[in-house]
Amino acid sequence: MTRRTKLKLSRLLAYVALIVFFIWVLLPIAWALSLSLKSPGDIIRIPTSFIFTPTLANYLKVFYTGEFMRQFGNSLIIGSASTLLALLIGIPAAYTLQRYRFAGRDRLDFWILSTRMAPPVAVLIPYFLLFQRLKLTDTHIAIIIMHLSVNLVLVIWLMKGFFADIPEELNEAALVDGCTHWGAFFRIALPLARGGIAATAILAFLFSWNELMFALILSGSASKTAPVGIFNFIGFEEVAWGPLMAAAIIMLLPIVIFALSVQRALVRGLTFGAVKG
Amino acid sequence: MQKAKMDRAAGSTLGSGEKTHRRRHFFSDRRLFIAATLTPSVIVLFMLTIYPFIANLWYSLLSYQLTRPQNTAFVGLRNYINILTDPEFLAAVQRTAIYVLSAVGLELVLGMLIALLLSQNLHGESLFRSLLVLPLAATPIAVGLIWRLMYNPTGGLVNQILKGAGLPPGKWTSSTATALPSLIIVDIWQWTPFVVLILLAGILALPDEPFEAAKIDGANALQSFWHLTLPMLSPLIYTAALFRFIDSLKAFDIIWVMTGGGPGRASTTVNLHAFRTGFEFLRMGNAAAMAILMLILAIVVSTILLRRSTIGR
Repeated sequence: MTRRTKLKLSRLLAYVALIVFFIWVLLPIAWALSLSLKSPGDIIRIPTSFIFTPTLANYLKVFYTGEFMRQFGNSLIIGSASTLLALLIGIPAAYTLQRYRFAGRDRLDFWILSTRMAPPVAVLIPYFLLFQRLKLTDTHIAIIIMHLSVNLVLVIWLMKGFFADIPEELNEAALVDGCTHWGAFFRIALPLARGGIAATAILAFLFSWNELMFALILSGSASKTAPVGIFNFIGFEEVAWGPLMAAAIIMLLPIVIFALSVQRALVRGLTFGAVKG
Repeated sequence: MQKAKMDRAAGSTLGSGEKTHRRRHFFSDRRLFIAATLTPSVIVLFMLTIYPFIANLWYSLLSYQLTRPQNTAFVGLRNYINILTDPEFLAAVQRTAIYVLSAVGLELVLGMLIALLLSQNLHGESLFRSLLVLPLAATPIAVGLIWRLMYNPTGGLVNQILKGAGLPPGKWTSSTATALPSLIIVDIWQWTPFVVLILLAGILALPDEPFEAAKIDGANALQSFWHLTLPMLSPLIYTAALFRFIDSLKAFDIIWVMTGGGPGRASTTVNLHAFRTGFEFLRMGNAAAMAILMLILAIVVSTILLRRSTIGR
């Protein structure tokens, strides 16, 4: 076999392998989508086929009956609030950590890194007991506080990377020109980091949106979030496949939109800054 | 006048050793700025790490049963001894070890493979990257539910595909023997893209010269991979391993929704066991002790991996 043929063969193999891999990645989601659009009769039919008459009945069921939409709303509220607070507290901290040298900075850096190691159970136990005592279970605020703490670490971590992309000379020039530290922060660094802030915001919101454990334990009927509420579709007797998949697709929808539009930023965030995208 | 201004400005980002001519030395603008921007975060960090650690440490030394709080008493290390000699806990540790080592190991291997394939100049790279993001960003519980249905022995997609290919169907999450592997497969499905993304960036950033030199010296693809790519990527591989190790220890959502730790206890990892102990059996003292043990394990292994990763200095 000539060298050229070898090369072409290896490239072909690469394409095939990749296509197989990506089918594996997409198949579950595609299947869920198809199930969500099927009538109960089609769902039970074996073998599964991707050819059927679609129906929106499952989605209508999710929207109009049951509490799912309210839980969806709770997720939106909690996600937005915890993201906003995390940004407000975290962005200035990330800026200072990146730009300024001071005693104990490395220790602070390591402390932030180490928060990843804590298993959520470890955080949940004392806070569950605390919130119980303060009668704060089943409130939005309890979950917001929990999500805020985790999101804060995410925000600081990511924004440090984004601020590092802005050249230091701009800062120094501003300060030489008589700008205060706050001025340099608000008028130079922040506007330049706009894209990074947007990406970080999306990722923080995403984390809160997807979170289960804290919401599971700390929420009740009033503050239940969507991931917890989706369990309602798993009845004692049987599982309502159609509406369940519809609910799953509804949860995945914002993510799919984000994934396709802000892909680079998402990659950066999901790999915790290891990949600049 | 200009010089004083320049001195002051120059002194503010060059470290705190510069002496400047200003009235209030200690509460300088710079110090105030640093303090103001960092304090709220430090407070939250404290609430996130120190408080839970101390609280758990304290609770772990008590016999704290939430349904009978009046019986709470200081018992020292008894909870730890009970846990470490409890066969259920030890079984959970074993399952966790299997889960973590298999999942992380396979993800690293598969991730490296896919990353190598993607690193060649192929069409549709941007599309591939968008697709890679999907499993990572998807709500774990939605993923768990979809796979739960897929694993259904009769109507699920997995067995149907196997049947179509002439292979025997499996019992997946309904059997104690196959429950854990079924979960590992889902973990691989969700997290391999993570490894791919990290390693791909690393591969693309590798310099060309060593590889060209190797080619001239007659090395084939396998040799240059083993002797060049692997060693050069090793810090990044350790980084990916570190993240995956920590996160797989914390795995909860998918296991919870797919098997709830079962059938029986077949897929109960330490994390799930601790969760159950605390929030179903309400044995807070024991749960807190397990949390401390998990924390110690995470710190020990992380320190080892951290030193070899790109983050460790």
